[in-house]
Amino acid sequence: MKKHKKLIAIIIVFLILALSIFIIIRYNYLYSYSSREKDFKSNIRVADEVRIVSGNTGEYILLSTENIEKLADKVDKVDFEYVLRVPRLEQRAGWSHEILYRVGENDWWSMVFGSGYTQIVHNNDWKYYHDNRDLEEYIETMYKELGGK
Amino acid sequence: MYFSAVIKKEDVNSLLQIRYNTEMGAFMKKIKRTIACVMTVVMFLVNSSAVFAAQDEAAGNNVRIISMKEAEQAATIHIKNVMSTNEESLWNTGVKIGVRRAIFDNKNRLECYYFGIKDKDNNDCGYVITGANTSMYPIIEFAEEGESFLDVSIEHVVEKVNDMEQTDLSSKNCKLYYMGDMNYAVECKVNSNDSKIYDITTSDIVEMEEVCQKEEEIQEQDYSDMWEIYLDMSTRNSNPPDSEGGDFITNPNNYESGYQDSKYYMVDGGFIYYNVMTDFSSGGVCAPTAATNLCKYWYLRDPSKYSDLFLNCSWDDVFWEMFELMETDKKEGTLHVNVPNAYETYFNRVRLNCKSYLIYGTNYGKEIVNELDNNRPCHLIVLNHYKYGNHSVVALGYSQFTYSIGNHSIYIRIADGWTNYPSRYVWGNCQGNWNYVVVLPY
Repeated sequence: MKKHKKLIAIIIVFLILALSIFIIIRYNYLYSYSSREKDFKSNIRVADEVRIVSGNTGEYILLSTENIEKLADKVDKVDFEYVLRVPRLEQRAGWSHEILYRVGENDWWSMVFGSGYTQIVHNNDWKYYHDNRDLEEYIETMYKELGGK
Repeated sequence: MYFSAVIKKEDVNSLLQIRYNTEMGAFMKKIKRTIACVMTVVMFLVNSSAVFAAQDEAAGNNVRIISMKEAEQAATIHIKNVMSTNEESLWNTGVKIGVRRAIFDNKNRLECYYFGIKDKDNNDCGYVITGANTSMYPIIEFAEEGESFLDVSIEHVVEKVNDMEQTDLSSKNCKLYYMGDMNYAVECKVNSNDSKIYDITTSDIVEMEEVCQKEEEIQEQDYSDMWEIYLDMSTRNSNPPDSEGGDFITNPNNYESGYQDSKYYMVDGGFIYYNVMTDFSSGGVCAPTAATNLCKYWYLRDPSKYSDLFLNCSWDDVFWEMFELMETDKKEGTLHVNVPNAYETYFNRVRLNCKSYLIYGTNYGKEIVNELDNNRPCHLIVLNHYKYGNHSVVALGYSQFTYSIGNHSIYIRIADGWTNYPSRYVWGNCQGNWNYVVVLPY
């Protein structure tokens, strides 16, 4: 019985450890998604240059300070739900528009709409969120209104 | 306890052999060490004398002698620059350096290098003449097609001398001279005491008494900076743009250097006018656009066989057919898994046959290279690309750079649906993933 107790104790400790590690990893993972969203929203206001790029032509337009403010306000209102994993069978090609901006010399941020998701990218690190059609259409309209093809 | 062992005669022999080998090994080691020391001293002396010779030749100036290997690197970089800037250049079909010659001045100092270019079928395809020291400009002259005037002239001179002197000389008995200002001479050794010199600058091959150096060329210039630019390209590794804000890649040679070998390839008839996404629709319609362009490629490559791909003689119709078959959504794009079925169904609908497969991953572009080597383009899907995001394109060719450690840097030439001509590349080692769809008409 003593032997069994020892074994059970070891298993419980092991499970607690594994669970803690899992929770820490998951928390870090989720934190990285929420901080990515938060940083994107705050950095756009201090960006040196903000563009809207068309996924249809590859061309872009530059936004004025006034339009950047408008866009930042709009983006601020949206809560992005993260997607931890995109299944292979749901991978898509093709996107509609992208908000691309630079902070300082080489710190690039972008939000890509289309491919079934909204992606927030920071220096080549892509994080996927559920798509937001309302914001996507807002960007599309803004792009067209500002003369984008 | 008592142990005994019987030692046979063979064992004794083998023991003696081992001892002999050990002694011989030690002796050989000593000899090898001595030889190595002698070789080191000889190498040191040879190198020192070469350095002194080079310095002597440079007459105390900061002129550096360029080795043939360095000159070849400069010539290669020049060839690649021409290939990337001149779409119509014959070099674009793939060339290699086939002939290497040293060219001297009237004082027998190494003045330039001549590199004869051959195409895939080993036909002459122009030449590049480079300087051989930093007082010469890296690229003196070049031609992108045909046999070199130097080769033609040497052949004429050899023929002439053989006729006149009743000899049996070949071009190997000739020595080339650069007289400056793009003037050349050739000297043919008739025998050990006599030789004939001809000015071969123009087609009027004129006999000369001696090789004369042009005055202006005697005043040495310093092109070290230019050489540094050319050779610097050969010491760096892969460095293409690969982050947001970077430019499109249109000339892979700008980002590669220090490689051992390189290869450029494009599928037959790949350089055509392709459609862009805006020709058909707005939104994320890259996949049906790429599919339409792939059909256009096969149609133009062999109209007699693939004429039916040109549905109702309208690429617009082909696009909308593909759009439907791929279940494309203008906002959400196209599921990768829908692409191969769409190709097969479309080919079947127009009474043609095609096998198509979706393959996940490309092993840094190597699998695309293998696919293109079959002389057929494929449907490439890039994911999380710094410029294209999640996007479908047609892969038509590649530039592959091989490094000494066996690594490859691969650039795939694409029709990207944003421009009409396939002038852009994607880099195989870029951030993100690639999938591709094999399209095999039969």
